[in-house]
This record gives sequence, C-alpha cells and structure tokens, in this order.
Amino acid sequence: MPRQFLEGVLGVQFFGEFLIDRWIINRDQLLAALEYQMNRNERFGSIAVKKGFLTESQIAQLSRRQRQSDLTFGELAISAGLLTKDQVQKITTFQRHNNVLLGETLLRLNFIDEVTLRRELANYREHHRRFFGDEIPVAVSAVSAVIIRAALDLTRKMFQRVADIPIKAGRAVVIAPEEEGIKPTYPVTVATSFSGDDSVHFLLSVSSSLALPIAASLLGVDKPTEIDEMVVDAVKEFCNYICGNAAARVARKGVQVDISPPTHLTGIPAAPSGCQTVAYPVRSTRGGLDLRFHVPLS
Amino acid sequence: MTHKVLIVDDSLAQTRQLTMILAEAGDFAVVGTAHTGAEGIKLFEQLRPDLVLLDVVMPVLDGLACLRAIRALDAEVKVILISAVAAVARTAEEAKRLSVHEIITKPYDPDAVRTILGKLFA
Repeated sequence: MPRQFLEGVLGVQFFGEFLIDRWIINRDQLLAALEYQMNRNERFGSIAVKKGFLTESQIAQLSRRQRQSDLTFGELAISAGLLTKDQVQKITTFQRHNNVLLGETLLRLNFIDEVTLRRELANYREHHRRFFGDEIPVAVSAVSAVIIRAALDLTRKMFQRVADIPIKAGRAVVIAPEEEGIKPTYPVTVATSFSGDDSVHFLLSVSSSLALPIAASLLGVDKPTEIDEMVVDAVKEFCNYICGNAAARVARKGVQVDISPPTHLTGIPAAPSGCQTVAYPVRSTRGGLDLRFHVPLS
Repeated sequence: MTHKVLIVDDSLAQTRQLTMILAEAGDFAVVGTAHTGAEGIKLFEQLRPDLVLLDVVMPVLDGLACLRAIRALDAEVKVILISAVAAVARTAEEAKRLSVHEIITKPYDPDAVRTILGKLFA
C-alpha cells in the first residue's frame, strides 16, 4: 500500500480528531463538547416550529422530501411554498447568532484558550490543504474522472441525505497493481460497475456502525442490531442509489454509462489486470468506510 | 376495490419498503414480487396485476426489457418505474415511449409515492 494513501487515511480528520491527535484536547473533552453542541444548537426545523413558521408534520414531510434533493432544508421549504425567503433568512440568522461551532464550544468549556484555538485553526487549514482536494490523479482518463467525481459527490450526499451522516474524503491516490497490499475491509462490501463510454468499478466497504443506520433508513424501521441479509441488501441498494444518480449526473455532461446491479463481496478485490485502483481516504463521524474505484490503465 | 400489485425489484429492502407504502395507502394488495426482469414477465402473465412497480437495474433481464415484454402482453396496465437511474434521460425517454404512467427516482419520498398511487387510481 503506498505511503501516500496510508498518510491520507490518517490525515483525513474532522477538527476535533485533529485536536486530539495534537494533544490539545482529549477524547472525553471532545465528547463533552459534542454533547454540549447537541444540546445547545438548534436545527433549522426546530427553530421554524418555535417561530410558528412550520408545523411538526410539515417538518416531517420536508425531511422525507430532502432525501430526494440536493437542496438545503430552507431551499426545499421555499420551493414547496411553505416558507418565504424572509422567513428562511430569519432562521439562518438566528442559527448564526445562537449556534456554536466546535472551537467556540471548547472555549466556553475552558478546554482550550483563545490563542491556542486561533493557532490550531490555522494549523488545521494548512493540514486541510495537504490532505484534501478534488484533483484526480493524471493517470485517469477524462471520462473516468467525470464518473469518479460524480460518484464521490453522490456518496457524500447520499450518506448525508439517507443516513444523516457526514463524511469527508481526502485527496485521491492511484495505487498501481504491484503496490496493492492488504486492504482494510469492513463487514459489508458492495460493488457496482459503470460501463459504456468508460468502464469504472465502484467499491464501497462499510463498518457495522454505518451499515446499520443506512439499513434503518432504507427499511423505515428502528435501527437493526446486527448485520443480516436485509442489512446487506439495504447497503447494496444504497450503492445503487449512489451509482444510479451518478449515471444520471454524468449523462447531463454527455457521458453515457449503464450501471450493473450491485453485488455483495466478502472483501475488497485487487484491481483486475489492465486496471488500477483510485482510492479515497475517507472518514465519517460514525464509523469506518473504504471507497475505491477500479479504472482502466491509461 | 382492491388493486392487485406486482413489485419487480431485485432489492429485498426496496420490496419491503414498497409493500409497507402500499399497505398504508390502502386498497392495494401485493400479489407477487419478482427479483429479476425475467421473473417479472413470468409473474405478470400468471397474475395479471392492475399495477406494476418496476425497477430498472436488475440481474438477468433489466426493467426496460421487462417493460417491453409486459407491453406486448398488455398495452394498458398501469406501470410506475421506480429506479435510481430514472433520471438518466435516455432511460426516462424509453420508459415514456413504453407508456409508463409515472417515473420515480430513488431515493424517494414515501409520501410522494402514496400521492401518485392515489392519483393513478382516483
């Protein structure tokens, strides 16, 4: 496994993890800060209800509709004729003034001082420049790059829209066949192929702590407690959501591809002959995942 | 009057969710579920449902091929295409040419599906 990818896996971090790694705060302090934010910060919908702009049932209706859309909650409410632009602005202004970011929370809880926070925010921005970026390695064809970008963006969006889980992806790394070593695997690995103007194989491996909420959301049930056939099937369908919507997006850019039915794999295979792996170091707030693509050598 | 529904989707999770939506919508009975397009054609011939909920990306035979075969058997039956590739323009165009009644992109809002069902059988 190339050193660059392993560095990426360690480097793709949320700000709180970054501070822990640098011994600025400890894990208990981070958890306390996140709990403080969860209790203190109000979501758009809850503010809208308090201000009398929306009812609980309208919030539920908009939340369900948000699964289908890239629009923000406010934009969706405007498009549905439930809120005016002025009302949305009032809510977002309220959030800006009242909700606290992680840095501010750490200050309030006296886990960090202002000078350290400013310094670490600057360090994190520098760290971000090093590990994050959407450029795709040059060894990939232009058409493959369009497919990969669409699938990556849809992966981020579907995690957020379907399971309400934010994920971060670092800078992509090309892994040549001879460099592939032991691959990290999680309990559920699924794959789909794009074929047509180019052939790209999409592989997603997720931990139980991601597979279970995905399944709960797709099945409309309380969170399952263990990985079973239905959970695996739900993750396959989640993969279908990502790749199907990616196929629609690239079609709008003139790239025509079909997708194959998703399959369940027992581990992440090495790239087949004539192909290379484009791997993304990815991090979520809830559990581990691995995202990679097999693309033809160019 | 209860409307007979055939669900053709390779995903067990999706079939389960659609069955729940139909149960909540009332007046619908799932008479068959198929997990490939080929199975879908076979069950359609046997069951002659009033409505087919049809996925596109499936093993053995895809949804559009299944739809062509269904249309050869029955030009009138109501069909709703529910697929993650429904927003691909050429898929949607072919589906419209084959007279689907509605096209829904996954992931969908269950309320929207219920509304469509209501309108279709009003």
